[in-house]
Amino acid sequence: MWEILDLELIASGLRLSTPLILAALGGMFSERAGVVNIALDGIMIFGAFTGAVVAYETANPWYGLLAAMALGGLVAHIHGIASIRYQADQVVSGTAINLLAIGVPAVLSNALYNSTTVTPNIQLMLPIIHIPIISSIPILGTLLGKYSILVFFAFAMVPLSWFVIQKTSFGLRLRAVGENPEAAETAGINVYLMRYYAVWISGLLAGLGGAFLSIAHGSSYVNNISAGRGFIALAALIFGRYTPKLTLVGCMIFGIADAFQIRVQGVIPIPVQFIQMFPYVLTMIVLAGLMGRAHVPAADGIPYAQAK
Amino acid sequence: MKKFLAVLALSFILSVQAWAEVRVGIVFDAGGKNDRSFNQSAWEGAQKARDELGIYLKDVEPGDSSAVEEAMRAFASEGYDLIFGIGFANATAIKNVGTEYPDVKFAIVDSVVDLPNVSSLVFKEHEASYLVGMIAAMRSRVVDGKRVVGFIGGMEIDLIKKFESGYKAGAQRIYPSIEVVINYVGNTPKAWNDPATAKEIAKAQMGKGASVIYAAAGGSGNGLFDALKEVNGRGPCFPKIKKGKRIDECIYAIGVDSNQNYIVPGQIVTSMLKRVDVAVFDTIRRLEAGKLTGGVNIYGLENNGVGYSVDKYNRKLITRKMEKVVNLFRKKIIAGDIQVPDKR
Amino acid sequence: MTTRSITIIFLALLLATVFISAPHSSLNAESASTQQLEQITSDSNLSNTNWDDDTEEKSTGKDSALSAVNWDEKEDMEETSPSEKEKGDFSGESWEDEGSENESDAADGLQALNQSDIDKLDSQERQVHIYGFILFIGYILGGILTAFVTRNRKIAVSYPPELLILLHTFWPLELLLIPFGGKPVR
Repeated sequence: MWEILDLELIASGLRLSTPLILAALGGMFSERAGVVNIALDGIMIFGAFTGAVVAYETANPWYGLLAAMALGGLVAHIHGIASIRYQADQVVSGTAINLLAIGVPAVLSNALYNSTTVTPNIQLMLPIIHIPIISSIPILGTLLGKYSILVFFAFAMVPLSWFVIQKTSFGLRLRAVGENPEAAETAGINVYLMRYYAVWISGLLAGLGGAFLSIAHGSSYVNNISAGRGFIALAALIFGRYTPKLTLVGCMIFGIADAFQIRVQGVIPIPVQFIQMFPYVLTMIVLAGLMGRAHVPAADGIPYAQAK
Repeated sequence: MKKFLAVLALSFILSVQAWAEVRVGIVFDAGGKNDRSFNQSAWEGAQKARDELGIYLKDVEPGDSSAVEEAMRAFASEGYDLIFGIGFANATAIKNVGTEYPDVKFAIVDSVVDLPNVSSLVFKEHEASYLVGMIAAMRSRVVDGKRVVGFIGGMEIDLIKKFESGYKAGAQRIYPSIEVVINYVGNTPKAWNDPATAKEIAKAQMGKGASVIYAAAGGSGNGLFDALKEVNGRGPCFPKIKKGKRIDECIYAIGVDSNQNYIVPGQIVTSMLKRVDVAVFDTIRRLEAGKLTGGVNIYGLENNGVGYSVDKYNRKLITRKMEKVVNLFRKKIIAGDIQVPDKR
Repeated sequence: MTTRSITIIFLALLLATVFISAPHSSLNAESASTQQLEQITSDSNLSNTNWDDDTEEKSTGKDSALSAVNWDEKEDMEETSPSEKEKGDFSGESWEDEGSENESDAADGLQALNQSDIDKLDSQERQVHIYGFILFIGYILGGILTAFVTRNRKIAVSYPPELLILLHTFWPLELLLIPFGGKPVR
């Protein structure tokens, strides 16, 4: 059984955690600014669908990627408008997006390709990058040598997000708006605009996460391609106390657990179904057990009414 | 007045057309009719029936399992002549709606429903999986001192265990010590449409040394093909002979249900054909001829209900020698000399 | 659904089925069997059989071409490479022949000929990816820059934030509007 604990497992885990990382970082921007965004899963689905369709129609996965990102942002923007301008309950608004994501791609793909469940395979997927020198080093090679470009992008986004949130004035304003919007308002920050930015960015990232599933990892959009990954990303985000570094750890835990689950099937005499539960159970344990005192941004989830 | 007459005439014409035609409804399962595999085979058979027999065909791809029964009930109440349920998951719905509408004919694929107005179409997948397992073993090579072939099933259910047992038995007939790695994509109907997970499973199996992988997971099989493209790169993978020894560098796959050889040309050794299209077409034809009765129809090697495909895309991967032996065993299975296991 | 739309869809589907190739060769053809095969019974040990054909398989010119794009000479392929014809003389699958003179030459030659085709396709792909990557990063950076540049201008300040986000998503449009956006406010 121990032979499955090799570097390939970790490599696979990193691949599987990429969409989680992108979605979770997006969620982080949104939550830190005070807008609860549970529509991550729905935005991932929209992103995956758009990415696959555009990549197929233009025969270029990069256009698909851009379209997925833009559409993710727009879908999140809808959530933002409902939550910020109209002060709707943010959970309800997010759920609405998720429900839309169940139906709209199926209808559109039926109209376009006469199939409610899959889109045609794209001609070219996003590239797998082989880093020339590193991939020949024995250990580091397996670990770092060969990944889809979005994997590198996702991991690069982690320190980048940290930098933006912690070290730029934009990030400072974002955090202020999430902690104490009234004070931020009196300091001259446009609370609405900052929240809109945050939700929009969360959509951009979640859309990218979804696009990974359909144009980098796979080669088409299939019904429910996200398989609940958006919610796992949210769980990882909460585990990570809304900080980029710990969120990364959370996503990697789930990704590696998922990779482990795949490899361990048949190797140990536990029924497959129990093994497949493993990543989800692990996530629940982690959330319930190790969590405890996460610092939720003080104004998270509370619609802000701008002072007149 | 004129307008009214026109509308009347139009609706009369349209409805006459409806009366004249035999109306067939199909309800697919989770994979959707374009899964390039199981459902697609059924869809192709139905389309062929529509082209050749001139029936009126309507299909429904259910978003989730609760929609299935409603769709069937809708078909039945609208007076359709024959309603197909594709996949074992639709069996309960067929049973329920079938008892409610005893005058409507139903057909179910991959399951047996014991009602006088239901035709059950079942296949002997294990027999063809045996042949395909032999082919896999013949095409396999030794990697790191082990000879390994892989199997990716959708859900771990009796139906897929037929594929698994046949495949394993066939592979072991050629190389008794061959290792068969078995994985399942999931245990919900989503497993029939989860290529991302199947891709990771395929990669894991390749890591364990598998040189040929057989996916019996409907639409998820496309994940296996994605993994193939990634690992093998571009182009067909014909083994080369250097100094009398065969040098393979590629990982091969075996398709399922429909002929999938075209999906990654030259990297798919063969496809295990489950002629759902033949079964569907046959059933519709009998309906048209007025000879459709309830009961169980078994499709096996003997009536070409299952088999394996050889076409221009894999002609070079299956040598004549391989084919001769496989045909030999095919005859033996049909004759009953060999009993292929259909459970673990 | 009107009859007309049914007909159109039917035609479309018919067209689609034309492209799904599913020829199934007859599995019952048996040529003269070799001694080996005659002796195979249900119990015989097959592990040591060499599965490669050692009979002379005279492949015709039609199915000997091995390049990825030339699967069927009768049909029209979009990506016909110019070097296709050179491959036509590649008769005799080296692994189907036990004939020694073809072996290593054929194998190497096969590699070499395919390689140029592969390289061409690879470099085309690489171009697509490089341009695509530049486009992608450029779009993100451009968006950030645009947001920065317009942050104090009239567009950003006096228009509602919802519209601003929309503009940022399609920032080239926003850049076009800057001349009309007015001078920096505040």
